[in-house]
Amino acid sequence: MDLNLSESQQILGKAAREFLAAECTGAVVRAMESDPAGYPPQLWRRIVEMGWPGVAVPEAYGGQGAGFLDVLVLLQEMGRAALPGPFFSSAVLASLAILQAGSAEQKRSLLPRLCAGELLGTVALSEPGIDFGLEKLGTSVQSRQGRYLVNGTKIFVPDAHVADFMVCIASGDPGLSALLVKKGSPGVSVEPLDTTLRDKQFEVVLRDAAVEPHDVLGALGQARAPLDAALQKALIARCAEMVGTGRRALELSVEYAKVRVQFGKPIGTLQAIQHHCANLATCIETAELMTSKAGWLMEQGTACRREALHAKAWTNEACKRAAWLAHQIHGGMGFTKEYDLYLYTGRMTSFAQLMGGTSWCYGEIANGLWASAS
Amino acid sequence: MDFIDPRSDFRREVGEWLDRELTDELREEFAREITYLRVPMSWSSKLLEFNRKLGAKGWIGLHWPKKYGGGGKTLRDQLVVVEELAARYAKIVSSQVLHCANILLVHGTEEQKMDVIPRAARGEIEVSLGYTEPNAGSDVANIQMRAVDKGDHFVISGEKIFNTMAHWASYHWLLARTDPAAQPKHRGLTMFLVDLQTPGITVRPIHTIDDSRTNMVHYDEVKVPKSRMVGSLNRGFYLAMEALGQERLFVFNPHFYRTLFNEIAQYVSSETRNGRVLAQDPLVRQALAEFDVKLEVAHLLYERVICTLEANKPIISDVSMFKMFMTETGQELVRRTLDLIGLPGMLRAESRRSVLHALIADGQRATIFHTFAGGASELMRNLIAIRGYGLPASD
Repeated sequence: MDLNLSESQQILGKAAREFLAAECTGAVVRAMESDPAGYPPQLWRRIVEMGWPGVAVPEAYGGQGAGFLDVLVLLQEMGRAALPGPFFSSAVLASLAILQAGSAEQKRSLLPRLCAGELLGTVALSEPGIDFGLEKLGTSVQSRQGRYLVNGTKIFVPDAHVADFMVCIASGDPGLSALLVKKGSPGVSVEPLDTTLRDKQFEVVLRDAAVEPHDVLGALGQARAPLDAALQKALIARCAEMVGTGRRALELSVEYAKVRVQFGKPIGTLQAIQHHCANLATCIETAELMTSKAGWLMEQGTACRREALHAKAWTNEACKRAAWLAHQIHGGMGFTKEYDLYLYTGRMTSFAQLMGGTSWCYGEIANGLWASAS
Repeated sequence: MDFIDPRSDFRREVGEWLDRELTDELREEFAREITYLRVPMSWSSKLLEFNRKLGAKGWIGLHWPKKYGGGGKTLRDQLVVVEELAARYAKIVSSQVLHCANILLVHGTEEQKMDVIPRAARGEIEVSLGYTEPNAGSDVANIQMRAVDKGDHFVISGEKIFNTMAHWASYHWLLARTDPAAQPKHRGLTMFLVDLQTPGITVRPIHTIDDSRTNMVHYDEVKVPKSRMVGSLNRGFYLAMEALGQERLFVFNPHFYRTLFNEIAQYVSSETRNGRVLAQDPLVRQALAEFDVKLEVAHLLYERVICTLEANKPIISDVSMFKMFMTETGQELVRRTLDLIGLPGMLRAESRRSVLHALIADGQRATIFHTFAGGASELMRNLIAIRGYGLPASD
């Protein structure tokens, strides 16, 4: 048993940390909250040049062919920097969906361009009343005159304003399908959702949106198993980003406790504050352990649905508690927009609701515990 | 990175042997009297025989050198045995001697090692830890029991409290004050290995609320030969602290709670309450899913301590986090499970309607001390903050 990253993973993480510390400062993140695109294009270009979007995509499809843990290393650093932009929606969600569900030809035509930053993709999954998962989706696909028509409403579609296509998950006969819906297709409307995080989330309404047969990922109605695999990875990936975000909140809090003087001494000498810091540290360290285990199993190709759910449930709760603790340690200063803390705590709490909220995870875990009694 | 169990073969071997050797009678005695670290008034001869059988297998002191009767293997091998026992609600009955032997191996004289360690490895003797005093609990440095140097021996007087196992142990692992003027106070303490049969020692029972027993140990001018001093004069505090980290791995083992959890999950799938199977109640499902996660967290914290130990890195923050998390989670598990399963969860093992080996019932009281014994949760948090994250110690 070995809980350490490999040397190359450590080098990757260090390089990413240094790059993002210089290029993705608190000021940049803050400015992007009101930016129409939501990310600085030149920063994204440099991320693409470094090959990050293709880090775990096989070399045959234009990627670097590294393991899943390398993606987690990068995401943790992105979380630490609160990096805005389409990495998660395009390089994680869309790429994974295509990699798992697409035909060889679709992978050949799409993945190299996603890796090279020539294309941006996203995934349209959540719906009003369905936060996450593949059950009971209301969006439907029907065959009509050699094409497929998609109808339904999707919400919390990330970065749909810049995505060249979205992988739309729809149900129909005989089962779930993943369909490529291109930007500007007739019958598709994209409206921003005003989130507290001010990230770029959209409502997408599809009214008889037409999809050509070659834009069905894999075979019609056969997408459940590959999407399940893709979502499991995406869920662990989200944990890694949350862990990085939490790490930064922890660092800020410990640093603040050491320098903030009240009653003539640093507040970090007070046991009440020390205990908050210890609890905060426990949250983040344990979230990292759980995420590492799920990520490692995933990289090994071992079945790890339970561990992925464990990781997300725990990371959600740990990060929500950690965010509260970080604010409690900071007091008034942490509540201002001048100070960076809110950039991290906002993500910690919002990400806990995306890609599987805690109640949803618990429900799935329970289904596994009593497979016959559910 | 890898999460592979490096001892899976040995684990299977131990598990199979235990499944054969742990009779229903033994399992019942363990569950009734010894789970949750309880110590009974006395043990059955069969249970003590089982402990000696463990020793005969070579499974006590696997990580000690062969020269002293150990197995010449690693701490991880020893922990496999501890874990497989814990997974069956059992334990090495003479477990405190493990703590002392680890210190003796580093600091003891050859004579002390040869005297104690081989017998400990055979499962024949136990040692009672004599650290705590009425005015020195978490504040170990405040120990007052006085040891006066008389040339070839020390004369020791004073009182120890909560010395678990002292009514059965052969030796007292005693921390006493040899320098009353020392500043800071912890620099004036010395460790001794005292034969509990020495004249002047009185062991009196303290009955605890979990129907278990611990002891007061009174020293009245007890003569202890100098050959029984462990390590150097006035270095006792450091010796004690050195091994406390490891001990916490042995004492609060996550495998016990995983087995208990599995039995709870099994129990709720067949029992009904308010006219429906418990496992169909969304509140039960949600609560147990949550504990499934938390016990995995505790397990990973535990594994992390072992990895840190193997890498010879400081473990104090990691082991504090594990001890705090494991004991708090254990308490929460038995407390919330009682509410889920209801009234039968309040019945003691003697009742014909008792459920889950009465472990939920017993756990209500028995887990109370886990969050303060062996380092209170508050102290664990101080250590994480100060030693793990460099926060300034308060005065």
